[in-house]
Amino acid sequence: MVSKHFLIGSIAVALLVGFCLGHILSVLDHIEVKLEINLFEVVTIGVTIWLAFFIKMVLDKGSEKNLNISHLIAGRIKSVNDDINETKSLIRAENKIGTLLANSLQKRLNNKASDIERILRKESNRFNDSFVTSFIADFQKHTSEIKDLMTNTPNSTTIQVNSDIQILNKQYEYSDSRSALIIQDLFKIESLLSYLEYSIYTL
Amino acid sequence: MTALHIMKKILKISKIFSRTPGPRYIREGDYSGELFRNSLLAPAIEQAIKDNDIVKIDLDGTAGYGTSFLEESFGGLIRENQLNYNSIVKHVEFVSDEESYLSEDILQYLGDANERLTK
Repeated sequence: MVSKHFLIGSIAVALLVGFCLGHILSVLDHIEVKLEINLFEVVTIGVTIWLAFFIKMVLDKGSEKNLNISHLIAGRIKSVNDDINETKSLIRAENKIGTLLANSLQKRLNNKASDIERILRKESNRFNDSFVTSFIADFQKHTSEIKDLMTNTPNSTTIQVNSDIQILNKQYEYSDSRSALIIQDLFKIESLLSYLEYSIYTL
Repeated sequence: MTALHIMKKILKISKIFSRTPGPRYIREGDYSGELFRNSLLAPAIEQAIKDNDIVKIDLDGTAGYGTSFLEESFGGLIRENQLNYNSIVKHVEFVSDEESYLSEDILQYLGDANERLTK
């Protein structure tokens, strides 16, 4: 059934195409075509078309490279944020954190920031020197403040009656107010990283 | 002024003490700043001052330092071991490629301890 309809349809289409072609050819018989080629114009058109393709190709390649680098930096930013979130969770939960984890936090964060810095410095056409220097200086300042808040226990000459930080069972324990200050400083780093993430996709 | 000898003793903390430096005081846990100062740092610096040498302190290779470990190790040299600030600074050099800010931090701890002593 289907093949019968298909056959009838095909014949009808063939007849229609044949009729149209015949009509077009009869019209073309009356048209005179003068073929004049200006070599200079042809070359100009050719070069223009080639340039358009070339520029598009270069731009596509450049923006693809920029996007890949932005993704690479975003990956590093996420890794720093993971450390910050882990630290925040631990402190929020019990106002305490393991000594090894706290002592190593500054180094871990700054090593990751150094990776980001290296990539940003290589992309000097997108991120100028002062942008990178300012990011690193702010980052190091915040991590240094966090380290002091998290790991600076009082010494023998400054021992307080109610210290807001102490070490018990290989853990730093903080008062509520000290925990709040630590979390506040961790937010400052998050905010700095958010701005960096915004910049890498917009610059 | 006497020229310093070229011989430099190197204290690489991660090798001769611990890769995971701990708290401030011995009573607070393992690998404390107090232990490091008493057993290694103070004797090395006292010897360097005596011999007019330099002690190179290599801070690289550890998991990281807490503020109280470093403060107790270095600030304690002035506070507990009664060493002179200028002598310490003259006879100590720092290596810290992994955390370049540490040498500045340590000089700050030494300066603060010296300031408190002279008040």
